[in-house]
Amino acid sequence: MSAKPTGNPVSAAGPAPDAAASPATAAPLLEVVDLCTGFHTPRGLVRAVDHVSIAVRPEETLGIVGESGSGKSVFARSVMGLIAPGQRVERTGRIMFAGRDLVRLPRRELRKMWGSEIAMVLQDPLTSLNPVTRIGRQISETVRRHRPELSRGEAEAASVELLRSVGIPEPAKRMHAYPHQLSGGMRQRVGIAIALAGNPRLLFADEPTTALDVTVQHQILDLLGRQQAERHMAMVLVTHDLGVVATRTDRIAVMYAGRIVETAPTRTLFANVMMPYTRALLDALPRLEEPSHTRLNAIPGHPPNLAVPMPGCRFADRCPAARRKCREQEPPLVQADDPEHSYRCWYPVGSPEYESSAAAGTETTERSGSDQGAMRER
Amino acid sequence: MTHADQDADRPLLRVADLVVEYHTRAGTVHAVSGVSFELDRGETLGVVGESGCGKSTMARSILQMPRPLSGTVEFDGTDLTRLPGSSLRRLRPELQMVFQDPVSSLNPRRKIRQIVAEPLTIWRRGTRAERAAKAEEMLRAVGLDPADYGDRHPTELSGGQCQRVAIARALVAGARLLVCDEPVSSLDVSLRATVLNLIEDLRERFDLAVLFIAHDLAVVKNVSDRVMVMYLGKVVEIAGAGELYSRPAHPYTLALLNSVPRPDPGARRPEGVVAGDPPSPVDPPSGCRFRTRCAMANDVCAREEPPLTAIRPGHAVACHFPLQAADLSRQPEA
Repeated sequence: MSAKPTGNPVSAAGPAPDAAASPATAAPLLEVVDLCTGFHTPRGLVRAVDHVSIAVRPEETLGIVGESGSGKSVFARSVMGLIAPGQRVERTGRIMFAGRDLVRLPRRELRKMWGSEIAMVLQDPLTSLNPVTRIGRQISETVRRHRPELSRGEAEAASVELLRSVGIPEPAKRMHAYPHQLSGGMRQRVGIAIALAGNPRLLFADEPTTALDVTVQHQILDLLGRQQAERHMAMVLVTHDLGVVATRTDRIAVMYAGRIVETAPTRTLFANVMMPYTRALLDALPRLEEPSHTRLNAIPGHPPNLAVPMPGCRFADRCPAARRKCREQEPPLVQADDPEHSYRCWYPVGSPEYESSAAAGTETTERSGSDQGAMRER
Repeated sequence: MTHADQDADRPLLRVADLVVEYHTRAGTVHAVSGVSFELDRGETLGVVGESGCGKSTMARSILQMPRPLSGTVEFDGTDLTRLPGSSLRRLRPELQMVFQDPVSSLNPRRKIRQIVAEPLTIWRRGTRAERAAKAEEMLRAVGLDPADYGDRHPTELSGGQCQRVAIARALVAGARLLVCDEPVSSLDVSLRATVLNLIEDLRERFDLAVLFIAHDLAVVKNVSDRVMVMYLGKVVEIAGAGELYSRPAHPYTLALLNSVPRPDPGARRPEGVVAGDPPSPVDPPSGCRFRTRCAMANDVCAREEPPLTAIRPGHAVACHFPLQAADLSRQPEA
């Protein structure tokens, strides 16, 4: 169960330079307390985010990791107020941002904060940019919204500067382009430029690189990191890819079925995984260091149906170490050795119960090899 | 040349000098410019490269959808490019493809068992009962219990399950070559592992030749025996998977490897990555197509196109200055 040996010299250069940027004692910039977001559907109330509490400190990067349907995007959108209570949506809890509770803030006040306090970068800007308006106008519009005192010309000059700062070559020329004329990576840079136009203090990046090639993904993540440091901005990086968050975040929260199931400083989490789900996510990844045709450890089954309330741990059905107690009582979020590390599990990784079940599990899958029983989903 | 005794040594698929071009208002798009490789029964060849490098176009032109501009595609001794449409159609069951988006590649109005049986219906194989039995057998082979899933519709299944159905449909009529175009890119990590394991199992069980296209290098390594790296319509490097990943010789391969995010917070963030986007395939750079993004490029690279040359048995690279083992060990320290 220990970390697999890697092909490169591990951290000979010491911790990442930005790891110590935000002291653990700093007052949080964003503090979410008991946030619940539910959708009324024909099948009943679906609690996509269920009693989630988490804080983001100034200048910190928080990674939120989970599969589709874990509630990670709904969480980001509820905090932004993009999913707001209405006929079909229910949202409760507190979202304290710089001393104000966003849940109680009137819509007009909230809108003023978009872009200038909290901004968001989406997965594919092709769907968020206006396809029939030139890039330049879309950025200038945003710039002028945040700084109404600027003239049209000044706003354009500021937009060119923004495009340059996000690494777009020949920015003055690109101002005249339409979104479809840019590559995916360039469009994402434009999306980031627009998000940064109001100089926000907190940036949500919701799967910002999922639609991109590895090379471009690397560039975009570098860019986000650089901008974050220059602007002293906090960032919440939402992704399903543990590889992306491993080297780009200070802390990670793992979500499953609407709940945070484990949260810890990034290094602590990878060194000392407690929650079997996090372990399973890590074990399911194909690794560059492993030889070809290495059998992957798939997670059996599916995430639960959130419209059906269930007792017990939500991961119990798929967990190798689940026991009767897991199906009957939901484990609370408990603290690990590191006070910043907490998890939701009765028999965490490392406990005798988990280790004996996990060992038994690996043996059977290894033996059955290519036999079909092992790959059946339930 | 189709002597029966040669069948055994001959690779199942032999692609030579494949060229695909499209004419657009902006000019001629050089999508695939002279790709050659061989693929054997029971073997998986991985294809990696950025979007726009021509990897999907290449795969489709191998299956003659559409036919390539020039080059030959020999499938078990038959040149598909010269085959008339009717004969090609008869070969279709043996040449199958699995697509990226499993949900949209299945007919939402059909039940799962109908979807899987459809190729058999089209080819009028066996009786209705035999076809139903064969479809059920195939569903079981991909790990879906026909009693549970047979009468459901694609919308009632997860993405991973839909991808299994697509694979079952591809194999039900006796495929020998399976082309997988980004089969797991739209799946979650947990489902990705199941589908990759499944492709491995089926390759062994049916002795399939698999052409596996993906942009995720870790995924490609996991399933491939050999890996081919494409850049702007050309093969820049091809080697056994272990060799390519441990001793990349093309600067582009190294850059791709350096870009892969490692699930390890202690991992260094490598500097040797490429900047910018690939140039347009309408007007590819002279000489080496990668030179505009290559840190090591000089005049020769602009003048002369490097041919794909073997540097070790089974390892070929198209570069004037292939990386040596020394370059690789120096790189991580930088």
